[in-house]
Amino acid sequence: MIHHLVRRLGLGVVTLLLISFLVYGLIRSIPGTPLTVVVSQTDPSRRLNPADLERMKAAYGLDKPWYQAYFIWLTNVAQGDLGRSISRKAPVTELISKRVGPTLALSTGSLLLTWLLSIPLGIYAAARSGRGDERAVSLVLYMLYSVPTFVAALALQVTFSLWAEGTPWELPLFGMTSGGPHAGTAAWLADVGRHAILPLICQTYVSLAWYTRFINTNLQEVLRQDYIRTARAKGAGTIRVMVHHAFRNTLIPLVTLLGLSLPALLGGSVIIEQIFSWPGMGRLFFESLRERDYPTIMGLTLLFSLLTLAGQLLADLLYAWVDPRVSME
Amino acid sequence: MPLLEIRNLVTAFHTPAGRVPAVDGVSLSIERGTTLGLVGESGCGKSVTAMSVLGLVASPGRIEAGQILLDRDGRSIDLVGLPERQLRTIRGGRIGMIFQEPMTSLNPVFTVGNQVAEAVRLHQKVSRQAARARALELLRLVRIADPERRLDEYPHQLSGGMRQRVVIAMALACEPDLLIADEPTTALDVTIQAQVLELLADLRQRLGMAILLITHDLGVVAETCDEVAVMYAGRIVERAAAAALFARPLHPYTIGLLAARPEHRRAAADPLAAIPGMVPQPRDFPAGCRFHPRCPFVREPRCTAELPSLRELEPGHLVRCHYAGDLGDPATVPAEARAE
Repeated sequence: MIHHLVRRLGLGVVTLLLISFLVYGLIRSIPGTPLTVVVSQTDPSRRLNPADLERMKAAYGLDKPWYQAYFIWLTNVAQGDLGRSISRKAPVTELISKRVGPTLALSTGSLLLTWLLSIPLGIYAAARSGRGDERAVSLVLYMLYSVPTFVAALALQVTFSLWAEGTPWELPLFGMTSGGPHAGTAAWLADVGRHAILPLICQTYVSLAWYTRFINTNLQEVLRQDYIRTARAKGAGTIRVMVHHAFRNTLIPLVTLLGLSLPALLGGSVIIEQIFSWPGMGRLFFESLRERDYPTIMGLTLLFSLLTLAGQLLADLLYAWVDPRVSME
Repeated sequence: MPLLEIRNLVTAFHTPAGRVPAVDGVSLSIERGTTLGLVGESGCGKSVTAMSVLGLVASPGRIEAGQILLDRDGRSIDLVGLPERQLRTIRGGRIGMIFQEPMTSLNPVFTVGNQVAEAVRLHQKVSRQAARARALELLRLVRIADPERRLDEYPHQLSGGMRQRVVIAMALACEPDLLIADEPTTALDVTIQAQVLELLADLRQRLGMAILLITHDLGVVAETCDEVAVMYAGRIVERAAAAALFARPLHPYTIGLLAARPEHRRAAADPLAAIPGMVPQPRDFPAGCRFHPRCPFVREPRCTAELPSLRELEPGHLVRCHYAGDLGDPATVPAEARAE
């Protein structure tokens, strides 16, 4: 068990090094640097003095070749320093820690909602397989699954912000708060809650359709197994067969999914956060890419890779926990 | 009153290709404490008959006609059309069932003790500890070595023979009046087969239960059964006491089955006898006697046109054949073989 863990961790470190090296090389090859992008945005008419540009390059370490710069970055990371953002004039860790909260709020909310709805829906669909109501539910879910997020987001915005304007159904179009001072924490929470509704729906509906389908198909496969017949012959009722005997077996593929969803939990959704101007990690990633903000991009890449690897390890451990046939030895 | 009496059971599957009558007018009865062997080739409707008794016929199949009468404390109840709630008390309570595939019949994610105890707790209001103690007792009853340790093991840690013992322990949890054993030894090694059969015979005596033994193995029937019913293409073709059936089989199908047993050969070098042709699929059962295309004694036009009834040729010996007892000489090649 411990041997297995050590091996996995060792492999994880090697993977991280490879990913960060490749990503660093790639982002340094994108045309434009943090300096050219910033200058073109602040003052497109002005041409920077070449001497000034060289000075600034040296100050940010951009005068060195990228592989050299990578090792400097790596040495700093090893000492716990992710560097300072070039475009935002703040430490990367500070930028990330500000954005984690909003993303977590949205993603954990969405994940909880997805699981709470998809597990009963999936079990229900499997139990009623082939009947009219199950087909209707499956059809609706399949249609939802086919709708792109940005289309759904626009439809929601049109419905709840434009059509519902002035009615109690009106919901804010974007942002996390309406701004301005809030009368206490409760008022602030209520304001954030109202802003979160539309992005939450957007982030949930696709995964809801996907998870329900996943649970349904897996359950149907399990229900064909001989041990389900044995359970029924023992006198177990439909609900006990579905929930106790069958669902427990579909947990095995489900935990893999849980592990894989860990990076998305902190990574956030670039599209949804962008559309709803939600100040989260996905938006930070998108913006830092646009600004060629190398330290921030690298900091986020490192975090996402770490989470991906941790998620896989978590899935492995959960796997052994839910399936007695799997052993770590 | 017999413990279980099946009267004219019809169980059919409604598929897109049409109605498939897997069981087509089967009548059987089992007395308390006896063993009835239900014999036939794969696909003849044996297992569907058993699943009908438990009310577990899978969709799109359903019982269309007939009665399944169970004697419960002197009162006869019809299992056909019984509400699901009451059927559940019968399943695992009055009727236990064991299956062909011990390797897959146990849930892989629960311990053996958990699964046996569940069978107890589904029918009796007892504490967890009491159910576990009963599970241990049951594992001892089915003679599993080191039962204390096995209680906390998972099915994958057990051999096939042991798993079948666990399934038997589960089926016996509430001391049922009837045990349905659907090919209980088919998937096991020969030595383990004998042990399991011996265990079943022993348990029957100790618990006084009846057994419906479904098998295609006539050797197993000869060793364990009091009565035998031979099934072919969804119908009973012969029913008799085991001794009478083996001594004097009357239906051409039974005669063929007995002749096809490997031990029936006079010398090891003799070729195995076989019944030519295949069991017909329920959707294209032939007209007349369903066995006629494979029957060496077939006589036109009666066999090909008229369905024979199940008649009592000798006391307690029923047969579904127009010419049983007077078969005459076999044709050298039966119709189906001729057609090939």
